[in-house]
Amino acid sequence: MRLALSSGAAPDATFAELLESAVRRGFAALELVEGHAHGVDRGISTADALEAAATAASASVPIAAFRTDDVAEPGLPALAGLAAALDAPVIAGGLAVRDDDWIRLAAPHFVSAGVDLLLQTDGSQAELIRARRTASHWAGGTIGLAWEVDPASARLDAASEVLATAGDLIRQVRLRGGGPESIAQTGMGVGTLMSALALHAFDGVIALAPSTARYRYAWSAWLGRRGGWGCGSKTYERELATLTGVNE
Amino acid sequence: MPQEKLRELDVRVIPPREKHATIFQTFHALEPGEAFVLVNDHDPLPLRYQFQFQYDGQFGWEYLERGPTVWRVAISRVAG
Repeated sequence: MRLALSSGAAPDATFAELLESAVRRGFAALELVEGHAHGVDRGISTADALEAAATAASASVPIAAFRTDDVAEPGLPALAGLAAALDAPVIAGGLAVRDDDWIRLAAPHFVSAGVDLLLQTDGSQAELIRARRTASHWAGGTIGLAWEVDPASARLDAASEVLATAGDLIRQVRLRGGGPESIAQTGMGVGTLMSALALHAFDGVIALAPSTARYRYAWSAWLGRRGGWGCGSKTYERELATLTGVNE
Repeated sequence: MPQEKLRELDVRVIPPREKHATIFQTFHALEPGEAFVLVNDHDPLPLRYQFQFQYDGQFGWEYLERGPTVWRVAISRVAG
């Protein structure tokens, strides 16, 4: 099990700042979300992608996943190529796990690039069963799952059931609302989830991301980036959340 | 010989009020002779005292990593 910091926790952070923050907080990996300020996206060269991967690895926070919601067909070869250079799986956001037509179209790109494609799932039995059927069509472990968990809405007491059904396919658990938010949680079952993962010997990645954009300030402070917010930021040091960006 | 997969419980993401309950819940689920690795952001010494008080002679405690950022402790259920 490796704990990863998602760039969703600091979308305005440069790649170097992300690495520094992850190291400071003891993370073991990074999840990069396409479009954030880290600059790793389909527009960079293979050499730059290789350098980014090497830099992250040498800082002991290798890139554990590249996440994107842009899974339109024309961009898939570039996406697979980038992921191959990063030596990281791609997480297809949205409802890709339910879209058999898209999977039929997309999977060959990732198979030929030697890249794992992780389909985002909410952990419902219907999605897990569908994913198992899909994975069986693409031998070699190319298709996996990224389980999106929001403690405020997910049934975490069913974590053992989820792992029993598709534990071998789940490579990443994306946990929304850890980090600085965990102190404000009032027993929403994260402990039950973590215990189930431990007992199941889950050896994938747990990526931490904010539950909503509302908590970005708290995350920035928690990651030690408070100084980057300019004059007066210390005024709000004790605030857990800010109302700025609630609707982002 | 196939290696047994490592059971890791990373409590850094668990809300403080759930931490100890989760650790004991995981310990209770172990069979005698089994273990898990606790991962924490500080030395879990108070937890060790709690184990000693409640499970004296029934648990093993071995530090695998001692900070400064991450602490890892193998906690086992003593066989027999």
